[in-house]
Amino acid sequence: MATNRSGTAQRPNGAPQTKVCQFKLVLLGESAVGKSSLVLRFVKGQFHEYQESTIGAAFLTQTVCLDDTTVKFEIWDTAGQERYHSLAPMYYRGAQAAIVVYDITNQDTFGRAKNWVKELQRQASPSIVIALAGNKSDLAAKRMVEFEEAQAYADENGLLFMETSAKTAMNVNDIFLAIANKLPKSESAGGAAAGGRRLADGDAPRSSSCCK
Amino acid sequence: MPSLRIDQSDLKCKNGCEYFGNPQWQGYCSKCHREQMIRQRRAEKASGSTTATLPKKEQKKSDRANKLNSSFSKFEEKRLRQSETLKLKLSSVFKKSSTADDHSQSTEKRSQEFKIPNAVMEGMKRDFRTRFPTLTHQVDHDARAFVHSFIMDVIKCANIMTVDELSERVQRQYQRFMKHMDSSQHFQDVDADTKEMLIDFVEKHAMTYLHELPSVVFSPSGTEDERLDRAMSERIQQLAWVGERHLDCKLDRADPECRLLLYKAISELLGMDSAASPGGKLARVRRCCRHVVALCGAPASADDLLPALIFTVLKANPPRLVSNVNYVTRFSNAQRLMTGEAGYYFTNLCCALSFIENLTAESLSMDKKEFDCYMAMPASIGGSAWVRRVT
Repeated sequence: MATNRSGTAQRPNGAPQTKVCQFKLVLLGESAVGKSSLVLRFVKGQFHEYQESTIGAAFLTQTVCLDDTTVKFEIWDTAGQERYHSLAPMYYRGAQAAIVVYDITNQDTFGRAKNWVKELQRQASPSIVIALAGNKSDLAAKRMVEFEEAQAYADENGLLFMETSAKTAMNVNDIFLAIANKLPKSESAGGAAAGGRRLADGDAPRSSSCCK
Repeated sequence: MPSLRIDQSDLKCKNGCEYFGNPQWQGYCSKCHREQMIRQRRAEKASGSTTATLPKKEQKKSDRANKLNSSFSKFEEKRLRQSETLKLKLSSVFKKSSTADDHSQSTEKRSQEFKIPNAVMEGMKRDFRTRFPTLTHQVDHDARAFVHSFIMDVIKCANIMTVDELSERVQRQYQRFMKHMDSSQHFQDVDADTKEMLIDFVEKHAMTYLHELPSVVFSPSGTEDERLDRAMSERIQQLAWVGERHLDCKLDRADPECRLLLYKAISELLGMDSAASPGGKLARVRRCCRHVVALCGAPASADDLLPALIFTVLKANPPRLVSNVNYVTRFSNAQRLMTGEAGYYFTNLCCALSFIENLTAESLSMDKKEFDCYMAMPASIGGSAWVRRVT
């Protein structure tokens, strides 16, 4: 049973408190595929409206409500440039979900997305939920990656897949909701970190080599 | 005639190795001192006083254990003793704080040396009252008793454990305190957020005290931390020529505000060394990175943040950087590093360090020959100031 955080999730109709689950989600993908636009659209509901100079898109949190659960996403952006590629495992350590983003108008970014997926499947936590996002779907006229091709790849590898557009907001909330639905919400399911702090009990890699 | 000048050689390690010695380590450097301690312990063991360094209670237990398992190897003996100690501690931690004092009345010299000064305990009491004015006296008492036993436990284990074992033990202490809060009646009215703050309170006070002891948790003896600090600092000096264009970071050096933010970020990063607790160091890293985010302009993504942070680290060349990062990694509550804003920024700092360590011509997308030329240049030519370039 997940921990209830007092005061945060009381329903007005007096129904029992909902569970609050916190998940760490990493964003992977080449720079300029629109990783940060995607997440800003999801979190702030905006696109190219950057009046506030203090907004960072590197670390953001957003809460979504499912039927009986409140899911709090903690979104960790990663540097997409090739030269920083080898550092990615430090970010996705302990992550429960990942979105790998590519640009549908650029075949190379799809190739790199496949590399991320392969790497995640090999090195990240085995229970990690991976979603593939083909961004910039508003630019369908310049499309270089076919929907069917990406869908087939996603099916083969057991990934969630959607084509998204940070500009028109198409499928942006949907992909996060789909991830939230797929994440295990009970403590027994391993990867889930109910109320945040359960991480320390079961997930911390340090506690694995106990001398008993 | 006595001279006020101290010769360089007087400061060096008594053993004659390259490093500087320290009166606290009997004039040895940390490495030689540790080796000396190990030799001393071995000699003690050889003279038949295997258990002389253990408190009396444990001595009995471990004597019994030794009789029962005389065929055990030395390694297993040590493990057994450790687990006995653990059981003993588990049962005694929450009785009275005087229980912990019992331990120090043993034949062990070290425990007496490391009696926690009253001023520290008083300071902790005051801090608790200011931060948690509404919590009950029992909560206060439990938290402080836990800090006390935590400190004594680490000091006792520091000599017999490797740093990784010690780190694991500290992590278990945090988990144990959380379990205690979940099960004890004293904490039944305390909500989840306050419990998190109480864990931070315990971490802050225990680690602040331990941080001041030489070579226990910060640059612990038996690790390479000190040497790596020096290597990292030299490496950064060597890389003083690396500019923002090499790293793909778009900073505007003509903009005075931009320069101001960079210097603010640098001073926060330098301040990391002066904070004592892991939480305090993390807070500095968070403040530094917030300046770096502002420096990148909105909306700063990781594509901008990481290169700008690498640039900041190169310009700052913070003292004892590796020691600081290792200290936080080992002894901060592990959960604070896996999640949260500070954890995210700290991960970025670790990435920056790793990038600097492994940096090659390729990772700066430049010609190998040109890179080698720069690297062969004496470090002082580079200079670290970031001022408007005269064109």
